[in-house]
Amino acid sequence: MKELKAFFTKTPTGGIFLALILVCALFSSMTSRFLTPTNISVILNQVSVNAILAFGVTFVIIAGGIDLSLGSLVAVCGVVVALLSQNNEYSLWLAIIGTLIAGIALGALNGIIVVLTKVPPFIVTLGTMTIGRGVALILSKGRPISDLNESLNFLGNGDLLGIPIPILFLVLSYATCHILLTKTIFGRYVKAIGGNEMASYVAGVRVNRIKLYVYMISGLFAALAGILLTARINTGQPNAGLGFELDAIAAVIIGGTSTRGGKGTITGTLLGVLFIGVINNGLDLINVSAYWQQVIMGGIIILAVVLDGLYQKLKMNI
Amino acid sequence: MAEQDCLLKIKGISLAFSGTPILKSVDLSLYQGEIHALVGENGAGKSSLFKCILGIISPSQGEIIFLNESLSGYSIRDILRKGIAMIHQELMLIPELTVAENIFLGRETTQGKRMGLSEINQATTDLFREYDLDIPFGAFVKDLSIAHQQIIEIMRSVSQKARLILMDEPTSSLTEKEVVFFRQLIFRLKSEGISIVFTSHKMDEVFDFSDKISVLRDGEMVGTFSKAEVDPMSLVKKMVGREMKDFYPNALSEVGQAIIRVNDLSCVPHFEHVNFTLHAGEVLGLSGLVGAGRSDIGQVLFGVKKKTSGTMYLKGQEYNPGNPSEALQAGLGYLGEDRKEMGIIPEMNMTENMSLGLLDAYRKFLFIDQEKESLDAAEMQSRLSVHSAKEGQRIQNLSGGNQQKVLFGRILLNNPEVLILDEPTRGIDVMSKFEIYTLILALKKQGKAILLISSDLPELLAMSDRVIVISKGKQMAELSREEASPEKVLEYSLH
Amino acid sequence: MKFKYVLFVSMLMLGFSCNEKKSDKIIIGVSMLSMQNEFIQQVADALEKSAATSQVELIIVDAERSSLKQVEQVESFISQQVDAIILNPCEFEASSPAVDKAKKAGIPIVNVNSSTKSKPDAFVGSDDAESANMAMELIAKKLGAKGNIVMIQGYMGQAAQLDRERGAKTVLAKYPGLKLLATQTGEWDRAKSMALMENWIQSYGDQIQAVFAQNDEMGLGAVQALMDAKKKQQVYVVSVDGIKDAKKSVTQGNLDATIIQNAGQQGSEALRLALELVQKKPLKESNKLIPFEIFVK
Repeated sequence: MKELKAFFTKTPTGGIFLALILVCALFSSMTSRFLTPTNISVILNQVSVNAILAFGVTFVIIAGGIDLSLGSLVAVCGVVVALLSQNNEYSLWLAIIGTLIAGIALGALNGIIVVLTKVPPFIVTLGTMTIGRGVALILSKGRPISDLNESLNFLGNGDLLGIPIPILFLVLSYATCHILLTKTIFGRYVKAIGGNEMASYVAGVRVNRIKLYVYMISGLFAALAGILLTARINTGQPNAGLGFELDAIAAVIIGGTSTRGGKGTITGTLLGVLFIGVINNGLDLINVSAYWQQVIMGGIIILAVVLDGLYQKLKMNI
Repeated sequence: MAEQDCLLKIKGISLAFSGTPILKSVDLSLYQGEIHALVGENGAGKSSLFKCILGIISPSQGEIIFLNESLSGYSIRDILRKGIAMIHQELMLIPELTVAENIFLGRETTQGKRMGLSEINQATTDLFREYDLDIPFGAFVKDLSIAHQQIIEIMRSVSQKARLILMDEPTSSLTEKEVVFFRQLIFRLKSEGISIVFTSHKMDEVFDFSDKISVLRDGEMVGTFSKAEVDPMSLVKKMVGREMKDFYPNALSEVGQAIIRVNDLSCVPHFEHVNFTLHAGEVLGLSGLVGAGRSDIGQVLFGVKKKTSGTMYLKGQEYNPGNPSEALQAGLGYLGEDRKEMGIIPEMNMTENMSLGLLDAYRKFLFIDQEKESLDAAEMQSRLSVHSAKEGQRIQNLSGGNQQKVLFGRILLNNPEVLILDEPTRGIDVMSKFEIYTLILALKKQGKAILLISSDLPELLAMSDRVIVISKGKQMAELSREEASPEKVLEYSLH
Repeated sequence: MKFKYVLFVSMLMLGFSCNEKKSDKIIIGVSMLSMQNEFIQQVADALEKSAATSQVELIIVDAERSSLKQVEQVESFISQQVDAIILNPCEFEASSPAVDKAKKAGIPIVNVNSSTKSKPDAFVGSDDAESANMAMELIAKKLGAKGNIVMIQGYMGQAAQLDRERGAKTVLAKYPGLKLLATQTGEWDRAKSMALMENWIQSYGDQIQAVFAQNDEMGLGAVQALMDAKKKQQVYVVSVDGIKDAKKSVTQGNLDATIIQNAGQQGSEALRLALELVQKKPLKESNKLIPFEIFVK
């Protein structure tokens, strides 16, 4: 009991964890289909794309920036991987590595513009969001790209030792990002420039370099998400990923990362992603009408953030 | 003085937060037309006492009597109406409104009738004329200097017919010249029978301004003294509760070789044609009014700003840092003027703040060697006696003095040869000040070259071996320790 | 002085551009719902192909699903004095002003694929309700008029979604043995429908016998989810539109059927009617319905 209390009061993500448990309890009381091993696997599978995107953008938000181009990057990278793996022209590995490099390059473009021009990242990435969407349409000539390499489909829908591959990607990405943020110099400096950019600069942190890396990471994970999405639906679609940036950013913020930068955790982001995913899944299971789903979804998100605020206050008094 | 002249009487006030006593049976009497200094270290209970008087928090025991009436049970707004006002350290003005609108904010309807804009402006003009103030009533507050903003706040209290004005560190962000004006203004208020209680960490101001001085220590009232009863040394002793040999420890040590030489250095528009040499084992003071360009000289040396012409030499080699990181590697250390803006990362703890920028020394494979990092930080913590309530506490919850010591720890971890210290003791408590002075002296003895920038003139003169005076971006004089008197430095600064 | 000069030159250029306009080639302005939709792309391709053969110049613009943008595009066609306008409406009500404005300006306008509240000079398209009707009849036949169905809807509130829902409901009413287990939106999107189908498999398991998806993208998403769950053999999936991917899936034996809207014919007919209107020929029929085809293996 004492350990349990310590967990909730010590970890910054305790509030959203509580909310997640609450929602899960609610759904499992409403339908027996919710808390089954296969449904949990389905949920994890469904959230994998959003989770990977959200992990990447967590770095950007902690560093005090924002990346609105995520959805478009998913589309561009999804189309690129589809083109590269169409008709077995190149090996799967080549297609994947090529796409990841494309993602990093596009992220770097965001970063370079932000660093060099000092234009707010909101505006810069709003611009690259539109550019990215256009590039995806140009590359695909506006049409879905099918006839993809069979092994790409395996990435999206196959499993390894009984675990679906997207879930493996989710776990790997989580571990990598968590270690990167908490254990490395880079992670420390990301938090530092988000907390006080000028002070970090004066203390000798290479602020511009860190900012550039942060957007490159966001691009890399957007590419990974694009590959997974394309593999999952077995086509590269230029209009894929519409609005994905909002889902990812919402998950990050629900997970307790401050929009002003300086603090946040990957675990929090994962919980935020799961929270959104569980609600989507649960509402489908109990067959709530399409109109009401949107109302309920919005309401629950606001409630979660309010609850978290109350919880943080409560924590101060313990 | 007779009992009936007593404006405010505090009787046995006690206060505690979650079991920790903050104020312990505090008594205090204030008389009409009195300027009263309230001194004590950070955490001694000064701001809590102010909050009790204003009704923001209610004490667990005791009572406060204002004009022969107990204030218990009154709201903040009622107490304000009765004539007690407060000037906070962080000013409470609305930047997007004009001077006049700020002065009459929330009181546009007096005596039941609405005051129009022209009436507000007229009232403001009259008020300013009465006090010989030269501030346009229509200016936006955001365009005014801190000093002017403070005057606006004081005028707001005056226009509210305040009988007692509480001021928390009113001079902490004022320049020398502005302090002179501020002094005139509070003496004017005093002559009109308004009483003022202010807090300050600057001894010269405490003795210059006040009629009486009250000392708080650990929530207890040590006593109220007239100026004749105490001198700065004995007052500090009362504040910290123990003997201090000399407030400004200094000893001339052997001056070593030249470490930094600056030749005709300019950074337009901040300063031009500056020349000086900084030796090992020396403290070189840089004096001047705020905005004269003295901070900018430090920033150019550390690579925060770029020079526009001239040359800098570090141990005979030409030196021109492209950014702070390069200056750090060259063996310089820098403490910024504004701790909040250029120093601390508020959300991070002491250890993380100390090692910021120096983590390459703690790289272990891909990761941070957190064990070594916290070991070094802990060692630095005990060396600088940083008081942190609990481990891992965020630095924003530490006192200003402890924050400043952490920033010193950051500099010392890199073991620099040259230290540039811009306002190292601004806004921190007396005890921490003393500790920092001792530290500077120790560093000097170790042979470090120290460039000290400060607006605290007594501090600067006591600590420096030589003083350079900057005025409007120009180097006015270089004075030896013997030559540098306060009058002389001030004269060159105002030149 | 300088200002006057600039003014003079720009007026001169304005004069030129006005004079330049009347060439002998017929110009037709086309505003399409969304060029990101494969079916709409096919209609546009057909329009271009027939335009090339009949020496007509086409100006094709993309309304990106915004009816406001569409109305603005038609306004600019009017000011460019095109000879005719072909409109692929975004919305039933909100795109109506585009039709009104063209008619007021005396420029013939033809609606293609979907309709507007205001009546244009001619309409070419197919009845959305009819396609849903055919799909559901197919399902009813397969299940022997008795069984459990789920329906994946398009973007809620759009004309195509409303009509296809209406068509499906009439068939459901006809066969009381058919039960609609659940209905939900897949927002015309493959990935969204895939997730939706996965969730349904969780909640209904083996109860689901057939899926009706209101377009092919969503049908393909459902098929993918069913294949991953190894349940495709037990569930019959029908969708509407007949895009390339869907036809391929049908030939591979994955998707069971798609109801083909004949994009090519819609495009060529729309251009033919527009030309006849420009040449002031009397129209034989101003409401041309192109029939659907069922595509099965």
